[in-house]
Amino acid sequence: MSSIAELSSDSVSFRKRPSRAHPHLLLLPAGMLVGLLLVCSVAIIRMSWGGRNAEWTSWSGLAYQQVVTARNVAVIADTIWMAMLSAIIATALALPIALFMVRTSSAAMRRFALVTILLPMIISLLVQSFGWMAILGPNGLLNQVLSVVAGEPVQMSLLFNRTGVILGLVQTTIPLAVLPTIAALAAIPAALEEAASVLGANRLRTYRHVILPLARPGMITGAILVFGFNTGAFVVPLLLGGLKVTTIAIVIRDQMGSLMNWPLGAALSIILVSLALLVQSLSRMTTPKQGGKSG
Amino acid sequence: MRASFSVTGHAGLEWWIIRITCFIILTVMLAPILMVLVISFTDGDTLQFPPPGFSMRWYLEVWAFLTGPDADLVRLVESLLISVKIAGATAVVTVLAGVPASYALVRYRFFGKTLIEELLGLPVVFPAVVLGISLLVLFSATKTDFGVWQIILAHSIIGLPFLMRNCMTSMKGIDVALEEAAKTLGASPVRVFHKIILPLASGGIASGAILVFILSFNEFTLSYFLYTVDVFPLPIWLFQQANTSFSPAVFAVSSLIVAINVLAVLVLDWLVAVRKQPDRQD
Amino acid sequence: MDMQRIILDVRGLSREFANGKVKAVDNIDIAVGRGEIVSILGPSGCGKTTTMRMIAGLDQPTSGTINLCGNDVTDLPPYRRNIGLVFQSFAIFPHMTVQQNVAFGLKMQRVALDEIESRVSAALDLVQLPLSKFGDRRSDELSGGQLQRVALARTLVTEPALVLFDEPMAALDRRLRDHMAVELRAIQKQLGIAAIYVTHDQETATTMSDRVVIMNSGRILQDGTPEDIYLKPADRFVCEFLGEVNILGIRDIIQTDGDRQLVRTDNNIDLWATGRRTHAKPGMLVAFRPEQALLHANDPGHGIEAKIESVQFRNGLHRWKVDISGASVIVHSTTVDRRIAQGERAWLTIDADKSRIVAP
Repeated sequence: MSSIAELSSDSVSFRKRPSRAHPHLLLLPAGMLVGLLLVCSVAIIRMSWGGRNAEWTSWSGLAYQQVVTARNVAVIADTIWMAMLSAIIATALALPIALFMVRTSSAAMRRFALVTILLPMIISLLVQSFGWMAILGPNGLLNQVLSVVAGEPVQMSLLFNRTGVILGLVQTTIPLAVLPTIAALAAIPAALEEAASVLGANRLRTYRHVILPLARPGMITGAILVFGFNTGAFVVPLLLGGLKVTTIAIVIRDQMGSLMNWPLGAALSIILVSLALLVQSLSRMTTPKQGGKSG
Repeated sequence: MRASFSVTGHAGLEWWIIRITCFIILTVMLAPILMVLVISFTDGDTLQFPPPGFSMRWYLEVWAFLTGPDADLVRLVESLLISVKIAGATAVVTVLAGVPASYALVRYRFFGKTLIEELLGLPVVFPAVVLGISLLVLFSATKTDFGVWQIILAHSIIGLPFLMRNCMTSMKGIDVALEEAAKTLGASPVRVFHKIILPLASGGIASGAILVFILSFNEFTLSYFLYTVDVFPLPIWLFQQANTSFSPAVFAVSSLIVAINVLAVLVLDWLVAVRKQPDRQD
Repeated sequence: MDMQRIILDVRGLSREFANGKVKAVDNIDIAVGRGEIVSILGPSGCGKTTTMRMIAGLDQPTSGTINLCGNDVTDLPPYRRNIGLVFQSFAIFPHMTVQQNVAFGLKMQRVALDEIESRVSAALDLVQLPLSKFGDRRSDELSGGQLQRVALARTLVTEPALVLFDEPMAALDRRLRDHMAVELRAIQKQLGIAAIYVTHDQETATTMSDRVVIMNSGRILQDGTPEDIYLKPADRFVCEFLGEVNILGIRDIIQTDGDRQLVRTDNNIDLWATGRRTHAKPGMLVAFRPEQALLHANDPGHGIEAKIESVQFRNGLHRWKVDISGASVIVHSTTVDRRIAQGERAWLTIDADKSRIVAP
């Protein structure tokens, strides 16, 4: 996730640099954009400690008391739970895709698979949610397929409940799980699998003792990325969850919008940002250092 | 024929299982997009699937939205234009801000570099809802109204790391010796940047800019908090339509968006493929 | 081969790629007896690695059979073959300790835990990496030589019927390689296991093995003891692959006496030569090693007249480049104590059984 830090942390590029020029000037425009983000953060923090309807002038801890009420705690737990579940499912589904992409000998197939897994990440979330609505709706594709399979009309409702939301979350974030898994699998030398085989391990045991343990760091990185991304989920639950599935992001919208409880919205925002930062530092810890080993 | 087994999973039962599972998962992942495309060609009045028949009916409807007598009322043209304007401006802003910053991070060592790197990566993890809401609060608290620039600024914040990632990868492939050679030949730092860095990093900058363009064009969450009656981007238009009249026309517009997205992805893919050759270091 | 019990018997083994367009291995036979170490030697791309991979079960033959201890294992996957393989890269599992690496094969065989422990310990002792000191290390904490020892221990601990070595020393530097070669040979002899050593390095191959199989273009050119293949090479490729050699073309056969023949070379020199199996025919070659010809200052009677082109003194040996009727040959040995100078006349003699008739 910390793309910038990762990219520049390996030292290839900075040999001898006794420069007189001031790099800070080059950083100024980008710094202003990020500065705006920091100003936003400060504003949110201030607002969360303000009184209702007097966010900038008064001080109050009420918002945080409201955060820990049963309803909000339930929403926070629910959001984390859905993000976790989607991370686990996405990581599990990422494995066969990554295995296929690493092993296929056809460059065209690999490229096709890559574009296919990247599309859900790039194409408008809104449009994809529309597609899900048509699939999961009462008369949608899924129920029709199930009806044919079951031989009797099936009217399973997956729209506007948690299952549908999790499906949507998995589908839109699976590339985040696939890419690090590919990297981890591609780094396993074929000789290790062959060595396991020669030493008496069949394919299942080779997976268990060699492939999966070696792919684990990449898979964990992927899971953390999906989790982090989905804790802030907004569009998918908004469209596929109807009013029944709420996430922290949606409650923030409600509190800041129609309910006009800005301090609570701000306090929840801080929870959400803290979660994101926590996840980022977690991913930093699990991501293997670059350039540690070359093939 | 001999019994077929493979110790690295390139043949036999294992390979079939992987291929079939992979095929199923990829199909499911593309299903929503394909669904939108299929339904947009329905000749029925509803989103029913499978469609009772196929026609261009809803595309003609969308054409009417664009050019017909009700065009002003439907505001599709306006939304499309504002979205393109926002996306284009966002790409330009991120390039102007991101390219010098990338160069600074790739070529210089300085105090506080790690901190700045962390900060520049922050927008990727920062929840969009929080950013959208806090910008809204900030703009309203300071009683400022930047019009369309509010959304451009917001999109630029989240687009910046994506542009910089591409740009830095490109710049890292440039041999320091090239710059030093130019300098010894009497080029000023500005000319070195202009004549050496920019041309060599142009592939990375271009693909980054396209990525930012798509990102902004599709962005919903930030726009959702920052749109106004006058600044009404396409995703917001779609959302509004979906909530009021969820007709196949919405799917037709969605299909057009998918087409624009796919086109951009193809250009991106092509750029990456082209870039790979001169950029490879080892 | 001698009457040792045969461990590995490979018959008519072929491996085709690209639908038969490329024959990586072309109808070869190899047998390895108990306690024997056989090198498969050849340049890269000769098919030696493919052969080894087929024996291990990592690649499948297009045709032919592989027999291990009397059982046909041709269609068995590697994990059912009981063959050990020491990889070129050593292939030490990076996520396991030395102890776990060595125990892996036993664990796969579901050997009891306490037995695993004692056998791992014994195997590590054998390669002089005591368990107490090295057991908990991982591959990134080991040197190249230590990695090889772990790979060896990991292979030997399961007591395979046959051990394959895929140029396992290519990754080591020369000095360490020589040292390891001696040690490897000692361990192999001590345990009496059969082994195949695949390499492109003729020096390692000849010092390490009981028998050397020379391969080129997917075929076996010669299979014999190191002395045999050096002194009695089958064809030009084998001669040249094993070191410096002088080669002259045969134009005519003048006289035959058993397996010896007096031949006339392309440059009109008559000399006695010995054939390995076939008799000389015009178009075949006569080959002799630089140290097998003798240089005389005076004509010993049957010598070939030569003119010194250049002299070098290297590694304690004189190295004469001499011209015999228009052909340049290299000679190392001489009957004279002094240095015969450039431009001087000299005479060359070669023993009839040391100048060999070889196929082109």
